[in-house]
Parts: sequence; C-alpha cells; structure tokens
Amino acid sequence: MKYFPLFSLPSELVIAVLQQLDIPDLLVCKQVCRPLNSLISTTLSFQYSTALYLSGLAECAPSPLPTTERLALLRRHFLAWKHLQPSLRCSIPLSSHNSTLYELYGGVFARGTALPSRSAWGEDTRPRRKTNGMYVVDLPSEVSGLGASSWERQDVGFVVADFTLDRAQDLWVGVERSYATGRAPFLIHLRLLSTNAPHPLARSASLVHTLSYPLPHAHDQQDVVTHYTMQVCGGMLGVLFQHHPVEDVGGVKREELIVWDWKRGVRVAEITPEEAQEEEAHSFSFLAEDLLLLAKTTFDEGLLDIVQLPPSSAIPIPSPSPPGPGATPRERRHCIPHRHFPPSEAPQGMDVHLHRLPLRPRAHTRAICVHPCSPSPRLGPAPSPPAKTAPVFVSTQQSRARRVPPPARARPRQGTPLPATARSAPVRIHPPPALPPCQPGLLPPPLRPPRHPPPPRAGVQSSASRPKRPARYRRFPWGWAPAPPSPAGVYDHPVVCVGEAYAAHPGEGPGVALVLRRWMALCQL
Amino acid sequence: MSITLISKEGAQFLVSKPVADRIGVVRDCAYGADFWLGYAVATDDSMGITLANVTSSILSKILVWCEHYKDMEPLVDGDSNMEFPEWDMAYIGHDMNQILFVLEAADYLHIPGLLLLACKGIADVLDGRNPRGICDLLGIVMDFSHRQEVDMDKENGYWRWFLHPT
Repeated sequence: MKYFPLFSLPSELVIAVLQQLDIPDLLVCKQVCRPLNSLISTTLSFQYSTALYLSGLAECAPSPLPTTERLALLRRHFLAWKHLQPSLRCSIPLSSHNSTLYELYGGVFARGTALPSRSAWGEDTRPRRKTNGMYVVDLPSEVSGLGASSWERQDVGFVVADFTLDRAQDLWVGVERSYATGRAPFLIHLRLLSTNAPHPLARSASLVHTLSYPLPHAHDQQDVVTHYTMQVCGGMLGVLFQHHPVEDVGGVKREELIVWDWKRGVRVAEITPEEAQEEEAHSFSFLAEDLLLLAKTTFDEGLLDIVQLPPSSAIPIPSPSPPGPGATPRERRHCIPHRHFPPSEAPQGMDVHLHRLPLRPRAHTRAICVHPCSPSPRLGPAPSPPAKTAPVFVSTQQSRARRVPPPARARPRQGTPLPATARSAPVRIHPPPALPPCQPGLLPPPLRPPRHPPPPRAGVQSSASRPKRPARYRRFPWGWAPAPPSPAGVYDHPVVCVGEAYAAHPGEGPGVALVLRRWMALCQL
Repeated sequence: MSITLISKEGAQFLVSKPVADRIGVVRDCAYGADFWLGYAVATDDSMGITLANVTSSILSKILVWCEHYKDMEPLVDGDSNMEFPEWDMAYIGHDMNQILFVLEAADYLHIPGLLLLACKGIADVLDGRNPRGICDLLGIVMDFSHRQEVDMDKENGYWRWFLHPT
C-alpha cells in the first residue's frame, strides 16, 4: 500500500491538522519523528496552547493581543507564582468600625461595618457585632491600571447575618435573620451592589426561607446559631445553612442547602441531610449553573459529589403567599437526602451521583470555586474609566478556600508526604503540575512540594519527633511555597482572616489578599 | 446556469452555479471577474475550467460535499472542541489516504469548510494513538535515538498521569 506523504503537504496544512488535536495528542505527535517534533516545537500557537494547558489555565475570551504577547504574559504569570514575587503589592486601609463579615470575590472586597446608632438619649443602643453597613473596596488591578476605590454604605436597612456578592451582575445578597414570631426566620435580600436598591433583574426583592424541620425547642429560635455559606453563579444562588444548637440546650447539628433561581424567585433544589455529625463538614460550589459540587468530610473519608440540578425553567413560579405561622408547609419536591445518594430514588429531573470521587482517607475536603469570573465594569458611586486591555486568560484551578479548622482526628498521619489536600487546603480537581513540563526551554519547572510533613498546628498536641520544616518553605493558604526572598513580614501579623485567592480581572491570575484588622495587604501575581 | 469542471484525467463534471460557488477557485474564475469588469466572463462556459491538480475520484467526492452544502453554510472556524454534524463525519470517513487527498485538494480549490472537516477527520484518526501507531499509520520511520525516546517518554509521562490518574 502506498502511503500518502504527509510531509509533502505545506506546513500550514500540517499545522491546521495539528490544531484540531488535543494537547495530549499533540504531545504524542511530538514523539513521532523529527520533522513533526520541530514543527510543533517551533510553532508559536502550539507553544502557547501547550503552556496554557500545562499551567492549568484557559483563555476566557478571544483576545486581540498577538500570541507572542500572550505567551510573554503567561510566562510572567508563571514566574511570579514560582518565585512569589507579585507584580503589584499594596495595602489598603479599611474602615475603623468593621464587623466580622467579609467577602472577597471578583475583584471586589466587601467588609461589613457595624456603626453604633444613637438613640434620642445619645447612647449606643445597637451592639457592635450586628452588621448594618458595608465598606466596599474595588481592588486595584495591574492589567487595567486602575487604582483602588472604595465607598461605604452606612445603613443597608437590615441587620446582615451574612452576605455575598457578584460584581459582574452588580448583585449583593444579604441574609437577614429574624427572631420575631410570625415572620420567616430567614430573609434573603437581593440588592444592587452599587446603589443598594432592589435588584431590577430579580422578580421579588427578597427570598424567604423557613426551617424545614421542627426545632427541638420550638418556642425559641435563638437556641440555634446558623452559619451561612453562599455562592452566586449566574442566575443561581446557593445558600448552605448550618444550624448549630447552643450548647446548653442541646440538639443535633442540621444542614440545609437551598438553591434558588434568584431572578425568577424559584427554589430549584433543596439538599437536606437527615442529621449531620459533628465530625462532618460540608461545603459546596457551583461548577456551572446546573452543576453543583458537594464536598464532605467525615471521620475517615472525604467525598466529592457532583449533582446536576434540574432546569429552573421547568419549575413554575410559586404563587405569592404571605409567610407566617399559619402558612401551609411548603412543597418539598426536590429534596434529596445526600447521606445515601440512592440513584434510583432521586427525584425526577435531578441526576444525583453523576460522579463520586473518593479521596485519600482522612483528607479534609472543601468545595472550591472553579468557575471563572466574567469581565465586568467598575461599580460604585464614582465609576472609573473602562479597562484598557482585553482579558487574556483565567485560572481554571482558582481556589476560594477559607481556613476551617478540621477536626483533630482528621489530621494526616505522621510520615505521609504532604498532600495538597492536607489541612484546609482545597482539593484540586486539576492536579497541579508536579513533573517538569514537556518543553524545558519554555517554562521553568513548576513548584514542587517539600517532602516534609506540615508543621504542628497550634492547639493540637504534636509529637516532638516531627522534623522541623526547612526555613526556606512557608505555609501559605494554597499550600507550601518557597519563602519570598524579601522579608515582607505581613504574614506574621495577627491575622483575622487568612488569605483567599481571588481573581481581580480575567486578565490576571489570582492574587493573594491578607485581610488584617484594620487594613489589607494585597499581592497580585 | 451551469459550469463544466475538468479533472486531471480529463473527465468533465457539469455542476450548477450554487454548487460551483462553494469552490473558491471556480467562483473566482467564472464569476469573480464581474466585480472588476462589470460583466461575467463565463456566464455559461462551454470550454470548462481545468482543475489540473485534482483527480476524478477526489473531485467527485468533493462535489458531493458541495452539493450537500449548496444551501447551508458550513463551519469554517473552530478548535479541537468543536463538534461537526453527523453527516460530515460520515462523509469524511476514516480512510487516511483519502482524507489527505481531500485535504490537499480542498486547499488547492479554496474550500475552507471542507479543509477544516478534513483536518478534523485526520485528527480523529490520530486521536488516542501512541507514537508507534501513528508511525505505522503514516508510514513514517521513527528517527529518534533510543535516549531521545526515553527522555520524551518521561516528559509525556505527566500527561499519562493526568489522563489516567490511577
């Protein structure tokens, strides 16, 4: 059989063929013969796509920048992460009367403020821990060249129990907890971030949530303290309510995860375990508007579940009924117990148990946010000029992990190599580049975790035989990393909330923000 | 209105105008001139247009594609994630030699949609093979030394782990 000589074709045609291949197949083609190897190695678009894939990034929009500049940007981004030398570093003063609530997402840092209100007698009547205002900082960005801008809203109209925000949709969502009888205990307000008016896209200005189970002591809601985890993804809003009973009352810890279509005001899904154990920690994150990642940690296992949500357009808009004690119990069509996940008993339209990813034993899991933020204009009372550069790429493995102390028994055993999932570090879906990349000349070898176990954590008794960690590595929120060459010193302050990775603009990768009591330090990598 | 195409072997193909419009070279030859001259050079060409680089079998195969797409717009731009219609994938098949001839002819005849489809067809054939398999498929001799082969295997080992983490 006579073969067609592939390389008698002009090289543009061969390149056009190779562009239809995935990156792993492209790397296989590099191994075939020398002409193909040199063609792939020297073509700029293949260098760029390979480097992008290697570093776990993806382009979020077509960019007008030429490939050369994009490759240079990517290399600078990689080097900045490798040596932890941020391209932008600044500290921003915060409001002096802030409360404990904060949110850092999509280039906006918002901190709750608790202004003391004065009554007619001139005394402070409101406890300071009750958040009733917001201090919003539009973070500076290296790509757009804009500096930080901030504004403060002193009274949002209710006491905020927790809030989240989505800058691309100019949305902030605040939860109001009401203890008054005859009212729903949880009111979720949908407001505009810029003006605090009710959001125009939302059908109703607030969503109502009532407890789906009877309280152990129904006469007093104050016996239960609720923690909230909230996330907005496009038209979906997910809120995880974690009800902890007060110690002297007793009772069991309960969790409810409710997903709303906030624009239509429709409850899309409701995931309620029967009862949660103390050792378990649940968290969730949207992978897409209709995909939900649930993470849970039990005593000896960590699990990730991916749940497909039903389309919200199939759910009719409920007729408005005033919430009250006499209201009929609400319909629980989309309630599934996620303790067992029986696929056969899943409600129609909800495909439970798409994937179940068992993890290493005794790994502490936490759902991470993997959806990219979309480019958005600046908000606020004084809008800034539009950004000058188009977006280049976004991280596909951006983590939004807050430090959650895991139970003491969930620590990794001594002697195990430090995994990425130890302690509060998030479980990565895309594994970090751990071996040298395939093009040694193109990118420097990526970060390698040290072989030493993590340092003993405060509050947990540690064995003295544990080897000391070398001084040139430091523990950062995203894992181990070489210590920065310059002693910045910001990490040694008493940190109120440890850093979160965030992406300010799609053009720049995630940075690290350290929010201290009165100011925040910002490193953009 | 129709136009005659003559293949390398001299076989004549009578095609209608919407079909011939899919072929960039023919469009430019026959109808492109009226843009500059104000009248069409070959409105009803009895002499025919000679396509000296395309054999009869490949030309007839290409004309099937043009006939299918005479009323629709084919996909002309896309990356490796794009999905083609089923008819396209059945049309292009898995015969490597034939796809390569189609690719070359589509490039010569300026048919961007068919060019992309042929690229996709080749990529589908190459998909999931190891280097040895690609060598056998294309009739290439692997010209790396053993040491280079081992080094590149090590480089690509990361991707094996990525694709099959267990």
